[in-house]
Amino acid sequence: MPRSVWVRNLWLLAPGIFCLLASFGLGSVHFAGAVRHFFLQYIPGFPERLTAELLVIYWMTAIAGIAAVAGYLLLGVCRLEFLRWLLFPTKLRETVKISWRELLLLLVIVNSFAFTAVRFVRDGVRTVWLQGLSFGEKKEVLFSENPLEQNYIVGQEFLSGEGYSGGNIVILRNVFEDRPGEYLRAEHLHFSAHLFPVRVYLTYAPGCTTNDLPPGWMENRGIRWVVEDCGEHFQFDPKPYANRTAQ
Amino acid sequence: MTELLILIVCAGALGLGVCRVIPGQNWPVRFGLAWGCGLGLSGYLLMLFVWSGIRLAFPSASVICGIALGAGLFLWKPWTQKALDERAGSGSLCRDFSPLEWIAVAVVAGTALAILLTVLSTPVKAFDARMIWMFHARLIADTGIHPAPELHDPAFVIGHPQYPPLLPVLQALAAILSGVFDERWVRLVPAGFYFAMGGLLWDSLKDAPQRLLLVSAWALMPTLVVFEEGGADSGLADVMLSFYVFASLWLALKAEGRLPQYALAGACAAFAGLTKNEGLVIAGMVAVVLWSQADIPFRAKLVFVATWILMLVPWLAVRGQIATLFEERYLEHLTPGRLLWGLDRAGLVAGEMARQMFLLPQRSGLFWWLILAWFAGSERRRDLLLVNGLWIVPAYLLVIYVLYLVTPWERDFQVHLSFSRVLLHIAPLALWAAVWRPDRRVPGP
Repeated sequence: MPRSVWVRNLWLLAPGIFCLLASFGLGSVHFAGAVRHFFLQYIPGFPERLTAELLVIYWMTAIAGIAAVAGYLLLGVCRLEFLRWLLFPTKLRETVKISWRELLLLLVIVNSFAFTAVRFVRDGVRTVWLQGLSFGEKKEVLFSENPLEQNYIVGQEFLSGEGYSGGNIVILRNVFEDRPGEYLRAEHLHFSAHLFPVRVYLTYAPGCTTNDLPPGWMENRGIRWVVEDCGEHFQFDPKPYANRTAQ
Repeated sequence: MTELLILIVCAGALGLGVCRVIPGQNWPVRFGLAWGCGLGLSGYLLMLFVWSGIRLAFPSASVICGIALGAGLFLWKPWTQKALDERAGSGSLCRDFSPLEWIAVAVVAGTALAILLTVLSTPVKAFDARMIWMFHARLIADTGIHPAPELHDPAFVIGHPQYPPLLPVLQALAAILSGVFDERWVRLVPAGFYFAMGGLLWDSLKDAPQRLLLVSAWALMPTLVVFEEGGADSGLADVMLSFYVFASLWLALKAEGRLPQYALAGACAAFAGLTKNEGLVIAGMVAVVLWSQADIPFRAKLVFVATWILMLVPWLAVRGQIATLFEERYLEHLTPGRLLWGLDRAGLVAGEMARQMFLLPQRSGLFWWLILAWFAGSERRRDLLLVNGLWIVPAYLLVIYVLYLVTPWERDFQVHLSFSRVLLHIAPLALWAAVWRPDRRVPGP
């Protein structure tokens, strides 16, 4: 005697119950904490955006759970006809057999839909957040999220300040690190890119002074500003360089 | 803006002209190939100009566009060809979509719109996009030379001075034509490759069961878009590389003996190597896939490999002259002693790679689960691996794994930093190779 359709489709209930437990069982706060802990640890800062995204994921999980349970009830009655209608074009509807592949497909759709929706929400939240700011101000706000780039504005102020009258910059460094680049910091790259077309150079100077450099080294590169980076933390504080030959 | 459109029109005309070698394609495929091949060839032409000593400025940029447009129109010859060929297959695909497939199409369109709006309204935020790609482009636009004199000076602070120049050169070209380096407009160049890839993937629907539209679109979406640091709107070169390696395999396996199409596939393989260093590795694997197919004539294989290598030679010669301050220098680290040293963290690196591939939905959704399941459930596993070239995926991951072991960065730091972008390089190729059925080929005219 064939098993009841309800029993045969009982496995459909499992993801639904899982989603319901994950959403309503945990509650939005614990749910957000779990998602943060397991999935979002690499995403830097931007707390407003994360809150909105997590809320969307939370409600989508809850809705998926409700839909899965409702789907079970529906499919139990109409023997997967709904799934067949939803997934397949008319030509294939009568002939294709529902298998685990179709369920995998559904899983992919739900998952992808959740993250595409997150993307839309993120953009929406960001648009509201940045509303009314000029393009330059948007840059300042967005870069401030990254710890390596929080001083973007410092470089811009240097370039537009009264003291700056042209010329390139050298960073003096006397510390080596065991990694590619050896004595290059990410901050150096950051300032070099943002101060362009001012050229930023980096060189090893054991005494942390321009006297460590060979004669003509500074002049050949048009350098008029010196940043001493010989401590633990990098600080962008350019000092004017007086040409030794002129002295 | 107008000037950028001129560049796109000229490069597009060249791309469309070149794509005449592939008969009977529908318009999304033509768009995808026109964007990729047109920009690739225009950029390559520009690199040859610059390397031969011609300074990149408005007049030389205009000449490039003129050559692209002229060559495109000559090859295209729209006034002599019957328009019917152009329209082959277009539109017919949409007639029998399921409800969910229609939703998928709407979401793909919505996402494309979101990418466009993000690119045009927000600054470039990804660290590497600004520190590497955009910076190289600004240097080329400022000096009109590649490699710029600064790149010969190891003291000049710039990330990865030896990185391939195709994307920066194209962005510099767009900036020079516009007269100003506006990061919003120049970022359209890499973002456009997302749309181009969509066009090319559309074609897989002709070969695979129709419901794969849904799978392709939905599965690829999170991989290419949601991941913020390397996605289609980030300004990085990864999506562009994904396009070229996929286009190379796609063109080569569907060439059916047409030699010009093998040459175009070889050109795309070269563009991959000119986009990112990883492109050299994957394109080499595509060459092996082609070489291992018994039913492809020797002449065709030779055309592919010769085009690929000959187009790369000038760049490899130029690259040797560039000084290095900050380069990973993986090949130098690839020694037996270094490998033994790296074995300490073998488990850690492998675990982190697997975690990023399968357990972090914000990085790639369920994409790799899907590919794995599709492969496991297929009755043609051997064909998928050997004929379609799906073996490229594990082979490329193995290469990357070995490189992660020998890198001097601490523990699994480099995996955290770059692995999701590495996955991006092979995602469209994997999707297509997992579903393509050579026996469902649409015969050419």
